[in-house]
Amino acid sequence: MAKNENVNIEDLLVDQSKFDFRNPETYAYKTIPGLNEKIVQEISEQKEEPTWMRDLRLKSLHIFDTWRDPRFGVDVSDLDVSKIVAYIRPRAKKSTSWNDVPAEIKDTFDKLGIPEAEKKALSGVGAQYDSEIVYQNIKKELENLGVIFLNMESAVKEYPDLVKEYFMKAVAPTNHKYAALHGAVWSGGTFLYIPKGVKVPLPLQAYFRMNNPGMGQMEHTIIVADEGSEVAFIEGCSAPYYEITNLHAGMVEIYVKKGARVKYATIQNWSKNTYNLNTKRAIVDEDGIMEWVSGSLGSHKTMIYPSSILKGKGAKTETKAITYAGPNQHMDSGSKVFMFAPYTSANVDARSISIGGGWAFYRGWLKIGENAKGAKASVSCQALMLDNESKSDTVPLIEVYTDEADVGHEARIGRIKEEQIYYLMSRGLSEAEAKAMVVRGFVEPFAKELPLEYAIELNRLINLEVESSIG
Amino acid sequence: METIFEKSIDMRHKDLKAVEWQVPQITPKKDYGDYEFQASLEQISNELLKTFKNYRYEAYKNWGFPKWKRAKLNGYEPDKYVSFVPVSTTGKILGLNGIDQDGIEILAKYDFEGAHRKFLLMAEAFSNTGFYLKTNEGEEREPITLTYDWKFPIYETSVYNLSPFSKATVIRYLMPSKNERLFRTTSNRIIVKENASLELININLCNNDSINIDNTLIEVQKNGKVEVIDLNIGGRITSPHIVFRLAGEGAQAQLFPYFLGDKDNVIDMLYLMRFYSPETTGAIDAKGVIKDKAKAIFRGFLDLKKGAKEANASESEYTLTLSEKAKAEALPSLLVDENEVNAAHAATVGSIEKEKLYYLMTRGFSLEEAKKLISSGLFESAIDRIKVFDEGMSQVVKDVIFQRI
Repeated sequence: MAKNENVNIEDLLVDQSKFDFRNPETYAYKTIPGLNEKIVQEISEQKEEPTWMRDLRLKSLHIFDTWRDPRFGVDVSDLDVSKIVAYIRPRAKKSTSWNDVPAEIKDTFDKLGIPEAEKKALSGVGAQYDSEIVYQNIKKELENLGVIFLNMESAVKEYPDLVKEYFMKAVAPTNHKYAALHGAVWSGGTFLYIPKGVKVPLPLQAYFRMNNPGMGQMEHTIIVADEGSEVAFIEGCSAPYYEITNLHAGMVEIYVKKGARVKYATIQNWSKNTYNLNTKRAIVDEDGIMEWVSGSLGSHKTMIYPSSILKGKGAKTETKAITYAGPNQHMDSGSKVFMFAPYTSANVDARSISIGGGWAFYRGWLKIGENAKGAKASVSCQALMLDNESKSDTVPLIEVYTDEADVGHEARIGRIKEEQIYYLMSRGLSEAEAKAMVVRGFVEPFAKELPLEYAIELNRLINLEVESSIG
Repeated sequence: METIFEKSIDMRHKDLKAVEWQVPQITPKKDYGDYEFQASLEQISNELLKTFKNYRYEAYKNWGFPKWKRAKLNGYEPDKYVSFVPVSTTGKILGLNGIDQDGIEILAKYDFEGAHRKFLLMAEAFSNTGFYLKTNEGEEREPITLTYDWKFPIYETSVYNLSPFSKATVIRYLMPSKNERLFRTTSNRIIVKENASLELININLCNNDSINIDNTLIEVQKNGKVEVIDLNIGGRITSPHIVFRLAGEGAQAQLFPYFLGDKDNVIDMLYLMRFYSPETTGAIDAKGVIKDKAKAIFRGFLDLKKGAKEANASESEYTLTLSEKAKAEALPSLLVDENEVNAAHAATVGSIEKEKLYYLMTRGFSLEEAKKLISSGLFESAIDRIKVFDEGMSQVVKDVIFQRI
């Protein structure tokens, strides 16, 4: 057995309290739980919104009220939207300086390492606390180049025409019931515009933190990458654990114009009382490139399928996704690619890990339209099942409506072989360390897409999860 | 008695469940009723079978016909009923009326959804043909051929009951028919007991107006072996539905689906292998060609249940598209509850490699001929296998394929 039991696994692990700490439940304003016209009006008034936005909210509410739940995915029957607090404005102003952020909120982001990362490796940061952005700043030189990096509320006011052109145009409220919910009560998030030809050197980051119990966080992110521009955007999310259900129903809309390139990376680590029903979609023009890097680690139940619509000739997309399903987690995740133009290409590498009774379900949709002559697509799914209590499913839908496309899909389910563990243990690792090492190898292609700090963080999370699940 | 119901997809895990797709149903303006049911009953004398049919008829009344979006079926209205349809046979097999207590128990014990519950129940309540095959322990039965001369709607209920250590081969041959509206739905239960083995060859040559729904549940017990060739050609809707239960340790199943669609044909397939026991082996190896505006929908599910330790599950699917309006849809799924297994699947869709065409053309073939040669080659192994049993039949199949491609 373990040769080196003196190695303290704790040394390799991140302090759990790093994510699971609560601040006092303070706020400047919050709506009563539930969802109705009055609440939606109230949110709109609080935000001093133009009429078109209020109308969009009300229209979305109507859709939410009248539509059925999606006919696939996780069972949402224990999610009671009438108990969710849709809007909690933190006791803080929107600020461009950490010094102006109230101490207890800044403390939260300090613990999460955000200001530190900003100094070292980022071009700009937005930090959302409950329903609103409390800090947002971008390096001066990028601002001078015309990059717009604003919280969504300010963008609605300062760039009304620009926002209106893109807001819920990639994902309409009619897309599904939770897109409608989002449309009705969205709050916070980022508006990012990169002008033609501007290449942002370091990633921009947004961090979303839910602090209050029973709340719904529904931030809206729009990225417009104009012709020939380049940007990488990272999103992180976490929350302390509560006994009651929290809901995250965010939305990301990305517009990749001709020859532009966008990379969108997410590390989702919501607490395990969270429903994460998220919608992410990119529309990619001629020769544009969209890269999704999607890590779904936390939450109780998740539905997330980052989508790329390749509508311009030669557009490309790449998805690298890791899903982790631990005890009592039902992760319904995947990817969608719609190829509607000639010579488009897509590559999906989706991996999942299930452990401790968790359920990892890959749901994919690859559609190649009649006009996508010469399209090339490959989808690969790999699942690692760490024990015999967990479940791992792979259900990819592939639709090919042209005769000149090259499409391949493969899937494989695996486990850690005992020989691997014995070998590593004979080299002095404990069983937990050995398993964690194999898992890290499995996620490596994903981890290397992340900035170093995040890759380290991901590895720490994996160590932590593997250790606590092996027990 | 313990009863077994095989759902096509089982979306539960511990306390968690996922939303399952509910197929919309349409109540037909006219449907079969007491008159047709009585006519069907009059064809049989077996009281136990009558009781079974009665039960299924009651269930039938509760269902509407499905609305299938992908296969473009918008409900259904049954054709004029014919209470008896002759099927010519070679080899030793009984009509369903000859079913014994053992066979009735199979009917009562095993149930499944079929391509749609309504069509399955229809085949049972209104059966106008059907067979009971029972081998003796250790028997090697001579190959059996069932030739369906398709002129009237066919409703088939059959049971194959293979005793331990026995062997059988069954060829079910749906003959090509004239272009007219024809309908067939079936309900087949096959039990392959310890160390028994079955080879089943389904040849469905459908015309462009026909609907053929072929539902089969196969249980393979300890060290039993099943090999199925499922060849589906043409049809307005051709919908094979085969569920394998690898129930006993060491059970083996191999499935070779072949499909060919042209014009407006829709080939809508569902093949499911469910692994329940240790060291079971199941493989699906599917190939097909679509042209014109035809659509192929391939659903291949490998479902490995907890306890299927060291099971081997594999699946491959290849669709060749020969025209720009043809549609290839695939849903190759892996569902796994047990981590000590080996499971993989792969699916590819493509067109003919240009190099191969050029090569043949340098040998004097025209482009059309070269395309035909390459794509019909996909069916070669199926045709060769049929040839072993019936050379004439294999020639017909070959001609039909060559003519359609």
